[in-house]
Amino acid sequence: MTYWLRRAMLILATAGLVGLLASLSASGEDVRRDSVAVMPGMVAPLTYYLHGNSVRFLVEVVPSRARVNIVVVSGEGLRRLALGLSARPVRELRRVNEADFRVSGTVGLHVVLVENVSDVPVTVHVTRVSRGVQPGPLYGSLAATVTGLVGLLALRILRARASGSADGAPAQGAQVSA
Amino acid sequence: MRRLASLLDMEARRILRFPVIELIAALATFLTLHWVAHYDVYMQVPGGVARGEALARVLRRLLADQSRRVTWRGGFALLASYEFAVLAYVALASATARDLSTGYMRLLLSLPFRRGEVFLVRASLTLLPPLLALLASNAVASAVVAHLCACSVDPRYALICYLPGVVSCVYIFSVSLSIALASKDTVTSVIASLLFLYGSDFALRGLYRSPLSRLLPPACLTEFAFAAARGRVLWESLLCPLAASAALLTICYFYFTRWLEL
Repeated sequence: MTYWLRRAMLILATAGLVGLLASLSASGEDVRRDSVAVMPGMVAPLTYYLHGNSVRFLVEVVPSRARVNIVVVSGEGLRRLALGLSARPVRELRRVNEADFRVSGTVGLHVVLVENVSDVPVTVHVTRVSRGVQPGPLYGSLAATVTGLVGLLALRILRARASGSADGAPAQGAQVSA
Repeated sequence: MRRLASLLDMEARRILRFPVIELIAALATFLTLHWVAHYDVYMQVPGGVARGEALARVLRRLLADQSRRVTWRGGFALLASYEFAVLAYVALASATARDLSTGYMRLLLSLPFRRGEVFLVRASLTLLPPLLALLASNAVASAVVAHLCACSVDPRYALICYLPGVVSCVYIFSVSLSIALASKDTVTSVIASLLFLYGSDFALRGLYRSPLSRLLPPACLTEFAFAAARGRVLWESLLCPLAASAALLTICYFYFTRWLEL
């Protein structure tokens, strides 16, 4: 039983270490480009899944004389909007023809709502650049590594104690002399 | 029962010795984190929608689809781990070929265990570790990405999403075990299994969307997964590899228990 427990702790520690390395190696730049046409007075939703690292959004409106409202809504706000209620946006920009903003520290499904407030059809180009370590997998891997290593250490201490008490006990029938 | 448990423990310590399961777990974790790190949601409404109820309806559809998307992606990640599954199963099945060639199997069968029991124990120790590692890491990944919203998905849909991945693992396992038993040699078993499994995958990529690719594994399982994403279930694509695996495993069982000479 102790053998399989030790192996389980070793597996947990190994998986955690690999997770840590994978999280650190995935911290490079990841770019996604989207383009969407928006008719006058309409709203175009663009969906993104954010992982908690730093994300930069670059928005460009064509033609440049046109204006749009940009609202970024997170998961909770999205649920409220879906029910027809009002929601507090993560970011809000009014009457712009280009934008460069950052969203960081939030995890989950996000929607960028682009509302065309001019009287001409527009094409909106959105570039999302995410960079940095994703905290979710990093902390999860760290927790697995620490749990595995602590478990291994605890099992080793218990084993040493058990063998120590077995060594210290006098053998049956042995005589103790001064 | 105790006899079977002792056989299971003895064989597990041999087949899954350090660092076999550790490597399997490490690779499964790496693959899973890769799909978690690059998970994204794509939805666009060209032209846009009017504010108010029309927008709320689009967002409701997006939220309802989210849990289905995560579940499908989790199932597809399991299926997409084909290369890893091939390596893991070929390595584990080659242990049987090695035991046949070194004479360990003769020693094992001289102990008071039935041949059927030995086959079942070895087959389950070969099949389960990679499958469980992949399923466990995918379940954790789905929970991390979807924040447990995947739990709200219809269980039948979740089953349909994960079935191709599981059937793919069973198919790879049955092929590699059959080749190991037929060759009775480690090197021959590894090379023949890798050539057949990678070769068939490579060859069938050229036949994507043809009627043949709906029936031949592993391409038919990819067809099944993509059809499931569109709400269709191609049962023939699932039953063909399942029937092939069942036939191979039955032949392996009878060969091992009745005709295998050591």
